[in-house]
Amino acid sequence: MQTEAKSMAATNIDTRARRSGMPRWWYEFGSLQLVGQFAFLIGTLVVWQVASNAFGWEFWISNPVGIVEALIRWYNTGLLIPDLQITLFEAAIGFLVGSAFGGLMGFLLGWVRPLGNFMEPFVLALYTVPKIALAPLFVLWFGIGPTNKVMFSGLLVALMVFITTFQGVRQVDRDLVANAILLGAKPFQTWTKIALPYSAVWIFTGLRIGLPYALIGAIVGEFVASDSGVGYRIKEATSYFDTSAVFAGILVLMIISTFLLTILRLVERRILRWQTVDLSATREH
Amino acid sequence: MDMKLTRRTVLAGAAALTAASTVTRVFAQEALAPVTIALSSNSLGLAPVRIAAQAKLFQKNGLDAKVTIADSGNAAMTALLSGSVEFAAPGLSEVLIINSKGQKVVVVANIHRGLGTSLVLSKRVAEKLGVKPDAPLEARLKALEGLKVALPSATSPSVAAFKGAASTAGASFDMVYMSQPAMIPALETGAVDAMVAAAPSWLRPVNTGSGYLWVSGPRGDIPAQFNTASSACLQATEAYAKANPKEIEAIRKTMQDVSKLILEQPDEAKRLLGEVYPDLSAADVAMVFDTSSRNWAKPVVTAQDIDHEKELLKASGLSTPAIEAVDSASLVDF
Repeated sequence: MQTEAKSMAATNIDTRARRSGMPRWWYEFGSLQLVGQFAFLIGTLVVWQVASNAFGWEFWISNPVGIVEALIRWYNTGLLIPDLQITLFEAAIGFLVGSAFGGLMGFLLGWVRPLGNFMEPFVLALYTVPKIALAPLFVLWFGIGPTNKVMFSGLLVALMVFITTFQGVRQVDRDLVANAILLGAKPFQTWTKIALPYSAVWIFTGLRIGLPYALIGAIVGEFVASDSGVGYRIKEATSYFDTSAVFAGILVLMIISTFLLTILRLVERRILRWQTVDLSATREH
Repeated sequence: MDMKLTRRTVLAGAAALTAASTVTRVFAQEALAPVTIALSSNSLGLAPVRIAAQAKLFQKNGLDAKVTIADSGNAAMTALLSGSVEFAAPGLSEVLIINSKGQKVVVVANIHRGLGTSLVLSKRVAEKLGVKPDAPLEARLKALEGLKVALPSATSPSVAAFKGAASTAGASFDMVYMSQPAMIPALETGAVDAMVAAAPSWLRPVNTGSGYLWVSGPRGDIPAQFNTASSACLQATEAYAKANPKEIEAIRKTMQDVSKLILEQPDEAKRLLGEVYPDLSAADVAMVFDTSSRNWAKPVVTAQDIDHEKELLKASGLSTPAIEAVDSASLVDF
């Protein structure tokens, strides 16, 4: 069995190399792509640094060394970790609240068709609202503490997760459900055995799209009213026209976001492992 | 000369007249230099620029001025540096900070002398403390002890001004930073005890009865040593200022004209102010005009004013060696 799989993989590599005209080793050593990505990153950073120094653009675009220095300064003030904790806490709770609410509502309205049809225009109208404009109102509704940021994050995430879950559940094969019911499946079984697995990809897509929005919500909340957090530090740095510190804040957000997305992808891969098929191999044959 | 009035001559005459009027209009427009001014907010502290535009004083001085409202002093300055506007109107602290970063920006004319913001205390808190809004200033400042006060940003001149003023009465308060539109709901829901904002933001809680005008910058409640020389002034990049002396002179002349209008024709100035801010009641316009007009009518910023701003930044811990090294005179004499 293993030998068969190996042989299939080798054929796959040969086919791909032949079709693309690239040498076989390019595909054989998948890590080469990683090396290429790393080289691209380093090249970009070097070009950035050299251009910034050569043309005196530090004020406008900062440079990697300046950004690292700003990060170190931030760390040395003892505020980096507390700021990160605050923003992460707000974003994480917002993500959980928003994805739970959005997922449940999306599932409910997607499954109960008449209700979904009735509510769809209202939900779409809410989706098109520029949510940022609601930020000052969240101060009125939830005060200036973490609740404000959590709820704003939650709103952004909920809408994303709702839309994808709603669409996913609506695409469940109704004939399959009808057959299952005919064979004696209970409603709970049709949800857990058909609806959820069928729409899981959509739900996870919503979660993946929603995750950065959780951070955006927390940051916007901190822009509107706060005295700590990564968003607050970015705003403060902007007041001082400190481009390096602004980039440092953005870099921190980027790292957090990538880290959380990686975790989510691992969770997704684990939960949806039953769906994983070597599509490339299938295509080649 | 016998000239027949035919259809052809009538049409030719009409065409000639149209062409002549178009040419005149084009030349008249060309005579006006187009400039864009980015104000840092729709605050009444910046009203002189908008009154000048409403009174067509920019046109009178040869400028076709377009006034645009930015989100903050910082955003206005950024627009100036990007070259999308010719003039911006942040405060003096911004011009010092930006010059300390190696960007050459100069001060062309003053808009608002002194602090443009005021502190509004929640009525609930005032009643709890038992201090009335007409109590002596020292008692009002003392009442701020331990309160949570909303301010626009950590770098705002309001921070040093109100903290400094409170310190003269031995008081100290906690600060929370938020945008001015967010302050009103925060005050009304009790999330903060007081807010520091410019008009028209502070008018709403005072008019609805949820807050009292407690300490007023424009009224002169802030001691001189803590007060900024200019909370808003027209600035341009040094390169633009040197290349366009005619426009710089026209801006200065316009600001002198609007100062004169405010001082010599207050009723006309109030009428124009009401037109620029149609949402304000006549009573609000009158109140703001009475407290702010004297600050609007001082169109000049001096090197001493900039030195004073440096001292303020130093006292509030916001100064850096690069800010201290900025040559104050070079910002006004260029």
